[in-house]
This record gives sequence, C-alpha cells and structure tokens, in this order.
Amino acid sequence: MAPQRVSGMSRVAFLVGDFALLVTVGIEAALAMHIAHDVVPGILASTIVGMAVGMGAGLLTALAVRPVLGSIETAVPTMIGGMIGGLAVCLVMLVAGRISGMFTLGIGAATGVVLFSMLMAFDRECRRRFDQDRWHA
Amino acid sequence: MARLTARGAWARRAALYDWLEGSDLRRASAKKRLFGRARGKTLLVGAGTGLDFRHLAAGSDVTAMDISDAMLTRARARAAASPARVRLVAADALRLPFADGVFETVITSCTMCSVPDPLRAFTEIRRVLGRSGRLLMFEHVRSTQPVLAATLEVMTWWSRRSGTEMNRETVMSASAAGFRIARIESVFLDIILAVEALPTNDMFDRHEDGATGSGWHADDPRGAPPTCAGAA
Repeated sequence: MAPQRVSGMSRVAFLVGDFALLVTVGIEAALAMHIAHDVVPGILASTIVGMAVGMGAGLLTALAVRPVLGSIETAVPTMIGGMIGGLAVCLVMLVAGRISGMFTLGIGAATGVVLFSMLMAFDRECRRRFDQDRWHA
Repeated sequence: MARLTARGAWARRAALYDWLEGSDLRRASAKKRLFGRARGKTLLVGAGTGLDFRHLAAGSDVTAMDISDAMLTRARARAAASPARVRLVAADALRLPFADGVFETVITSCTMCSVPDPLRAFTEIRRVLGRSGRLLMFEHVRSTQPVLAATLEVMTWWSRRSGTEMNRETVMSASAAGFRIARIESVFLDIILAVEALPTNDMFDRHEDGATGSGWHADDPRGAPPTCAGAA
C-alpha cells in the first residue's frame, strides 16, 4: 500500500480543484476557438488565433489558482487542456460544420473531463511505478 | 559572470518568489515526509526565501545556503521561526564553501532546475556529503510521458529566461555524479518527485537501517534499487 500523500479530505479537495480547473480551461479554449472562427477570416489564421487565445486564457487561469493548486501541477495540464480544447472544436467544425455556442461549451467541458481522467490514470501508473512497499520504511 | 548573472536574476525574482512558488499547500506533506528523513548535520542547497524551513525536523542542525542575498534576507524571519536550528549562508551550489564529508544529509528542493550545471552541483554535494550520508531531493523533472515531456519542453522555452529548466533529467544527473537512487516517491505524476539517494562509494557495505528503512546492500533479496532507467 503506497503511503497517503495528503490527508483524505485534502486529496479530495485537490481533485475537485484539478477537475474544475481543467473543465474551465477546456471551456475557455473551446470558446476562444469558436469566437476566433467567427471573427477571424481564413481557417488557418482563425485556428492559430483561437489556439493562442485559448492557451493564453488557460495559463492566466492557472496563474490565478497556482498558490492553491500548485505551480507545475496547474501549468502543465492547463497548457495541454488549452490546446486540445480548441483542437476538439476545430475537429467537430470540420465534420459537422457550424456549431452552436452551447455545443461548444459541451465540447470544452468534455475535453476537460477526458484530460482529467487521463491524468488520473497516469497518476495511478506513476504511483505503481514508484511507490512500491519495498522502497519504503 | 554566470555567477553574477544568477545572483542578479534571483535577486529580481525574490520579491515574487513566494507567490510564484507558493505551492506549499499541496506539496507540504510530501516535503515533510522527505525532509523528516534527514539525519545529523544537514545542508539545504538553494534555500530560497525559506519556504521549506517549516518542514525541517525539530531541533535538527541545518545550514541553509542560497546564491541570492535578496532571497536570504527574506529567509531570515523564517529561519528564526523554523523548528530546526537554521544557519543561513550565501554560497554558490557549484562551489560549496564547505570541507569534504562534513554533512550527513543534503537536501535540495526545486533547486536542480535552476543551477546552471546540475552535474557539477551534484558532484559538489557528493563531496561535502559523508560516506554514510544521504541526499534528499524534492525536484521536478522531465516526464517520461511523451505529451507531458513535449509540454515541459515548450514551457522551458520561456521558463529558461527566468533561470528555470522544466525538462531536466535530474535523477539521471544524480546517478551520473555518483549517487545510487534508493527511493522515489511520485508527488505529481512523474514530474515532481521526492527522491532519496545514497553515495555509491558505500553502497556495498551499507546495512539495513531499522530506524530509517532506507538501507540497501549488495545481496539484498529485493534486488537492486531503481536506477535512473527505472525512474525515467
């Protein structure tokens, strides 16, 4: 059994915080891409602008919560979330054409949930890899 | 020149350091657990503003060094409030002003991302560490997961400007400098790690230490401790 890193309540609180952050960042990135496609002419230019604005918004959000959730713990996932949230909207637009604002919100939230789940799975793998009984007192 | 540049950069960062690195809420328990393994005369390399002083064991004898006088000025109040006896020293991690083998424990805390030459810093740490000493590192490193590693590479493009590299193979550097990795704990994925390392010169005559459980010897039935390949 790997040692508990933080108390149960703290761990739940950080998980909720991580989840909320990634969903928020996903929504920001998706909305940024949606708006960029509305206002910037040209698919390539709007994609680049949308992604840059989305990632920038995500990093600002991470900056705001870093004293609570941690600097690296927020910056790394946020950067990925800011990228895939916008890309997911692009992908759906390519397949389905124009999409509504609500649908965009849903895509952004979904990318946040997926990223959170993937990071949780990787976290479990890292614990298994490192936190083995034989290396602990 | 590099030393002067580093001093200047850290002096500029000192004012914002507590806010930028104020991740203690999440990392505190892992730090307390790791630093609690310190024994005897201890050196803390890269003390910063002293955020970690409160995690040091009560009554322990700690020399806390940093290259930046501005950081140490801010650390003074925390040194006085620390449960440990903390002595502050302005020094460069690449040229530690201490005799060989004088410390039983060396602690680094998010230090190796910022020193210009980690291998040289580890070599210096090994020099000042006694034969039966231990190195306790709380460090962020490059991830083995390709997407995370790429993200850390991109982040390094701009973090490097403020003296921090997000993509360093710190565990590997410690091994290259003559440390055997005895224990690794994942604090955040495989990016932030709490690591205990032992100087390799005494690994074969080291015996199980019931008090700490960190010992390892050559005929240990558990096999060899994880190497940097295991950590990577």
